[in-house]
Amino acid sequence: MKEKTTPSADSISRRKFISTAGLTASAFTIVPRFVLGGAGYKAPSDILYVAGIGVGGKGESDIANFAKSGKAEITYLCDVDDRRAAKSVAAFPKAKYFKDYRMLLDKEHKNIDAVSVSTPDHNHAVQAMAAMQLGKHVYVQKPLTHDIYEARMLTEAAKKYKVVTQMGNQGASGDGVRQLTEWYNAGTIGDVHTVYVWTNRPVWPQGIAWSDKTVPVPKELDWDLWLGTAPYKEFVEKIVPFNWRGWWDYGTGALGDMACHLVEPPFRVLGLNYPIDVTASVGSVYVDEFKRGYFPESCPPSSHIILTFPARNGKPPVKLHWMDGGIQPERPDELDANEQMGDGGNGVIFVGTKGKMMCGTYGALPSLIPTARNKEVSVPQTIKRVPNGANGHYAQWVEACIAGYGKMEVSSPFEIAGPLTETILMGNLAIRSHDIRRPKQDKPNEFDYPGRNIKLLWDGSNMKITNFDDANQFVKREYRTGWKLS
Amino acid sequence: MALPKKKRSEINSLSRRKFIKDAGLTAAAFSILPRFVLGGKGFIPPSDTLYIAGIGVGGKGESDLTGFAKNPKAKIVFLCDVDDRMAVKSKANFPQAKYYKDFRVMLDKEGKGIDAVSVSTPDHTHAVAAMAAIQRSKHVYVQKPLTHSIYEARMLAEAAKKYKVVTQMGNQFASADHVRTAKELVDAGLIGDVTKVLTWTNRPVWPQGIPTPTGKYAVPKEVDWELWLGPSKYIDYNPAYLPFNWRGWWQFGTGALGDMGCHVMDAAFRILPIDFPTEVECSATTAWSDFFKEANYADSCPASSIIHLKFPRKDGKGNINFTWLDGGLLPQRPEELLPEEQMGGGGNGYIFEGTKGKLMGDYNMAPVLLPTSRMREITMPKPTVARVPGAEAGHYTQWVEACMQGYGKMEVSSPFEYAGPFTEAVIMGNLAIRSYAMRGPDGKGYPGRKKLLWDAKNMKITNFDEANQYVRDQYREGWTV
Repeated sequence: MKEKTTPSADSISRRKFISTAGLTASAFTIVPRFVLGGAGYKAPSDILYVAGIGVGGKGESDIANFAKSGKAEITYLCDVDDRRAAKSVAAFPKAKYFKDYRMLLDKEHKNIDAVSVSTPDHNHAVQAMAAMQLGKHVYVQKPLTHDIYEARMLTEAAKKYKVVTQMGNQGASGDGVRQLTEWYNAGTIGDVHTVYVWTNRPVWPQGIAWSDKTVPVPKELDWDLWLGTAPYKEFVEKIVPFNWRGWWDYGTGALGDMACHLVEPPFRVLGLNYPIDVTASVGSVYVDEFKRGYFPESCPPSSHIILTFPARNGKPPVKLHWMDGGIQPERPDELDANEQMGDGGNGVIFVGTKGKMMCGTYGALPSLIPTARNKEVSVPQTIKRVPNGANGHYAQWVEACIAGYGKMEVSSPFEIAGPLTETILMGNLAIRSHDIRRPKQDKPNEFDYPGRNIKLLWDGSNMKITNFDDANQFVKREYRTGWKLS
Repeated sequence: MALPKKKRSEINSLSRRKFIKDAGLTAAAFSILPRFVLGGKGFIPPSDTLYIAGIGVGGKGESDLTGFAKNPKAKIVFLCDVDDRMAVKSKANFPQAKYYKDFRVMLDKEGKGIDAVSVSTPDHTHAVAAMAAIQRSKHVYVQKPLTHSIYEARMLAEAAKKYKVVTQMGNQFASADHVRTAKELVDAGLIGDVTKVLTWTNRPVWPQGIPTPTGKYAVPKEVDWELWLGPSKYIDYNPAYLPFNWRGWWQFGTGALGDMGCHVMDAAFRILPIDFPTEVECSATTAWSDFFKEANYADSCPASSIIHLKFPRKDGKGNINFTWLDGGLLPQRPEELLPEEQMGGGGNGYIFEGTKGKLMGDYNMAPVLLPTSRMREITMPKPTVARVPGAEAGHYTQWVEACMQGYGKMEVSSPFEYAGPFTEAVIMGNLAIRSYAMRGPDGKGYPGRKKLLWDAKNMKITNFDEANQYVRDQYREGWTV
């Protein structure tokens, strides 16, 4: 049997057996079961045919993990950079390889059940949306999107198209966040009013000038496709495969990289939703004596974000501090001078009216503080654990896709991941507002920075900053001509 | 009749001392010169003149000297700088003052003609210069921060007492009205007992968190590089350090804390019942040289940092948690502040959080209760703290007057008795930053990234011994404090 036709036949036949209301696609045909038989044979209804968009690095391990579930088959690979795809191409030799996800979906959508998106942040939304509109289930790497608006649109689309969704913050499936929730629900630390979250990221230079080292585009890379929704720029050294993270046109900085892992526990445990205000300050960069650098395209070397969440369900408002780039919150008095805070480089501290608790990245290392309390407090397990914890995040999504929309709970559906991502991106909105400048009237070479040192008020349902309109440009980007989210 | 410059000042000073009843001045026998020798228009009797030598006379040193000279009783009689270029303006301002390059030579040769010394050198030479002057019973005015190390600050504060000299640190806003108003508001109980202090600055306003400068450069002919280094270990001259950017290098400067801490933290230290901290911890913005490659710029102060100090209140009412942020980082905006209201003075500021309210201010800004509307509701407390004539600009004159009156006779705003412990607390932050940056054995790990416990009496970190190397600088052979 030719590789090319295998998924097609399998996938089409399998769909017959899946009752997914969202799948309103064309008529089905039944392929006799023997066509698909053989050793290790699985009924087609039990196999999920997955296409990977962005299959290097995290994308590579994501699809490898889906395959490991034993219930998914990786049938298509897509990457704009052949070098990045090399390992996945070797791992899934039968999968057909595309460079342009639009072609992949156009040509092969009938043979695809679900799509994994693990591209640079600026292309997440258009790719995931295109897949969902075709009724495909989607797994999207964190952060869900580059913009607040995109996160809102994907969240709505997931509901509209009734597809199973999961964001790639695998800690959401971990035991840690469930333990924290049980403590909180049992009143172990009372009502939480303040949360401190920090990361040692970025672990690359930020607050720098865009490289002027333009170099020829490597032959394996389709630079125009890589740029996708982003404005056109000449290709520069090192921007792929990783450096894009620190540039606003493509990446989302330290928040985008780590906050979906670190803000997720408080967001979930405390049942948070849209914040009502945000303030930001950033580590400044000086290029010379009395000469502050101005690098509005680059994420900052460090930032301190403070978000306010309103009172809800009888719980008090919450202040959530985010600190990145090496800066950290004050060590709680309850923690011994030599004890590790969080997981060392990253962490979360919940401050409640009756105590405190902390954890590391992915909600791992959950602990009451003082740590002696861990032995004294015993709270019954009330929340079901995900098999294999954080590592089970991938198989959980595969199984939920097979079960069909609304049939099985997943840990990070867009319903939660969307508002979580919006919240995280609020930090970036505040950081970027910090760099808005206007020439001074009397001195055109000097500038005012009206977005610094103010509190930005957020109208979540209308996605609008109400007291500083210039900030609203960061809610929704202008896509490059030819790209749209619909 | 015109006497040679040097001779005249020496004579003036010697004669003047006869009239000053200063227990600290136990110097040699005096002789009296007839008054007419010194007479002339605008004549001031020698007993009413303070003869000042300036060590480090460019930049801030220059303005300090002109600040003293505004008091007609002060006379700038000697200038000393290791860099002729930095001395140009002061030489023009005080053409009669004799110029030296080495403060040790100046004090040895001219000691008798000097009543008081102003020190405005880079931080790493404050202590040796000030101590040499104090040990010769000269009154001293020393720029902030008082010293480069905690140990030096302790030594200077003790010496000021021992030698009974009038001392003042150059944090001139210690003489401003604002801090006095703030004290009256706090003392009136308007914010209850303070439990938390937040302070911040937008400094450094020069690059920090950067690689150590390299390359071989010829020392400019105007600079005596050996003298510029003073007690600090020998390194090759590099133009990156002079005249200003030494501030951002640990070997010479004290970073943002040294630059601004003595201004921004003064209100808290002056008003609240605190002196020595018991705990310190810090975190700093990490410098990355490449992807996943953390830079080790251990010589450079960090681009930004957050320091937490804990002070036990001297009145026994618990602790005060004290936070400092620099390099652009800001503390949480108080809820009482409207979304667009300015926090602090703009670039810098402080917030006191008390059991009954909050107070916000800056060293050069009038303090306000929060919410700011509260200022319209309260009656301002009656002034109980004496104002300094001329406020911050009077800081210089105040010291001149106090020197004239003699040790113990007149209060100054920032004597070493105060400025010493204050500086120790300010630069505790630097001890924490440098401990934080330390790498573990084999360059792995960061053993100093924890809360450091401070035994102030013995000047010792008790839970991380490696940190104690930052309590006291290693001096070069031939230098001592």
